[in-house]
Amino acid sequence: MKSKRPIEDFDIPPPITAAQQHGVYPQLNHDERARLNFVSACNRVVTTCLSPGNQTAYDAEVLPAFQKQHGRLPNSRHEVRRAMNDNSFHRLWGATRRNLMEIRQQAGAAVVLRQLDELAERARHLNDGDDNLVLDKLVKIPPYVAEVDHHCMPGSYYRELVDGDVSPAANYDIGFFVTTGGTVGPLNDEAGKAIAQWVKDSARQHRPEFKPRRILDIGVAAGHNIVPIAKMFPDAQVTALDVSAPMLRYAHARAKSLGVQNIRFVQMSGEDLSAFDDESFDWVQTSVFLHELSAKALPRVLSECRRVLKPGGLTLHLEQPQYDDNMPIFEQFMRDWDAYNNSEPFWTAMHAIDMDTALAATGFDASDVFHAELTRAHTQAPTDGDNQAGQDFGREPVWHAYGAWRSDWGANHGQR
Amino acid sequence: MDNDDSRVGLTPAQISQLANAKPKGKRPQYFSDPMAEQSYSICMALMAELASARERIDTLERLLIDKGIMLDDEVNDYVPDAMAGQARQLAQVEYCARVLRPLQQQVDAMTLRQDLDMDEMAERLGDADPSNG
Repeated sequence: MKSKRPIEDFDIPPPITAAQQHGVYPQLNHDERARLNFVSACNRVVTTCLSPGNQTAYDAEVLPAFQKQHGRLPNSRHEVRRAMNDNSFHRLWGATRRNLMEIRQQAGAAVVLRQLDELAERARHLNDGDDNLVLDKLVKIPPYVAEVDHHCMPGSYYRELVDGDVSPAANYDIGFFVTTGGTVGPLNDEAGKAIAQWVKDSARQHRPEFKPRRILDIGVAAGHNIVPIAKMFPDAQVTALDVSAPMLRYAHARAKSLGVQNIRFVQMSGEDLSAFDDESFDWVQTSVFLHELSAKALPRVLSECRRVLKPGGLTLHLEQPQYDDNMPIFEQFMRDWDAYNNSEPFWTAMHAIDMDTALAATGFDASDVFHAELTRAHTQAPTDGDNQAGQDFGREPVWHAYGAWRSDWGANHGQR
Repeated sequence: MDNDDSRVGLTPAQISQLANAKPKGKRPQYFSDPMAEQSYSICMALMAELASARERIDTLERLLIDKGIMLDDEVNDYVPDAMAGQARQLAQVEYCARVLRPLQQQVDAMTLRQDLDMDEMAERLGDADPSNG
């Protein structure tokens, strides 16, 4: 063998054919696959070869010019952004990245739109008559979902073009594998696997009494992350919520075709969990969901999560790392790119929230709040070549869990 | 194709329109000139189509090799005879000239002694009164 280093360093993303099929996975023809392969390959080139140029442009051109003009350093990611937006390299890099997302959306939409009825029929075949799918036509799509085409996806998560439509979810499924360059696994479920393993490990170490019987997941989308959790805790009954009927139809059909039966998919907003009693779940969580919530909705969801959580229970919210004083403002600016360029309007404010304070505000004791870094290392060995310079900020398989173990036994023990 | 299927589904035109639709929200501008913005987007779309065409050619080569119709590396080892080589070079030249058409036309414009716009041409030729349209 010749030297393998260049390939290893480059970490070639897998083709779309490496994604694992399931019962509602869309059919892709040759050129459709090739277009998606182009997007993941080109994304990797942009990330690995071009993205570090932003730091170079900042250090060599933008920062000196800013200092000359203002006589000081930038003091926020927003100042960095405004300064970088005048830099020709950053603009061309951004145009390239934005176009790749638009091409990815076009390619994915074209795949699912030509098989709208077939996909709906395949989902119906798996879903009809199954108690584990509970749709509610009265659930309204909240404005913060209805008025945003998240990550440039026309129709976002909820558009229904035909009866029983699952196309937004099918598009999201194939596209997520492409956008992440396959780093979240053949079933796009590495985050869910990481959560499941982390909870199992930390419960074994610190909470041996923790045996979850009822798990609640809010904003389940296509169900990528909840399936490994349901598999890791087969004795638990999982309730998975979303406001989008197409997502729930697809998620249920997908999970069922993968042989997972202990998840009930329910159309419901996480802002109003009044259908559930206080202290009725052992584990309440969201997974890469909080950044889709408006500033008003976020505290409501967190508060409802606390209300329905049993004493001794776990709440956990998986997200990309929050911005704090320890994170350089240039990194914050890079992580913020999706907010301004990929239709994620709540991303920047959400990631600036102090999650410790936000969780404590819902009633948790400050000493019970934790954060933890979760990576693919929780489920498998990390790949070589992980380095800051080539990071795909905001899309890496590295997540932070913000959560709390509810230790106040008071409610049940008459101490409050 | 399921032509006998009773379901109608979307027409190709509808699929094209929906798949190409703009997402909600004002699109960020990366170039100072909106036309440069669009030209770049068209270039990137063509980049995707070229990648797709290359992958199709690769698929064909691999199928031909798998089926024993062609040997591994036969494409790489292929040497055209003199006539085929010349014909291919002609095709390359024609191709490049087509792609670089705007440059040629710019040179044409600079070479012409007078390059008139349509109103000027109508006036110069005298047959048409521009205000009579």
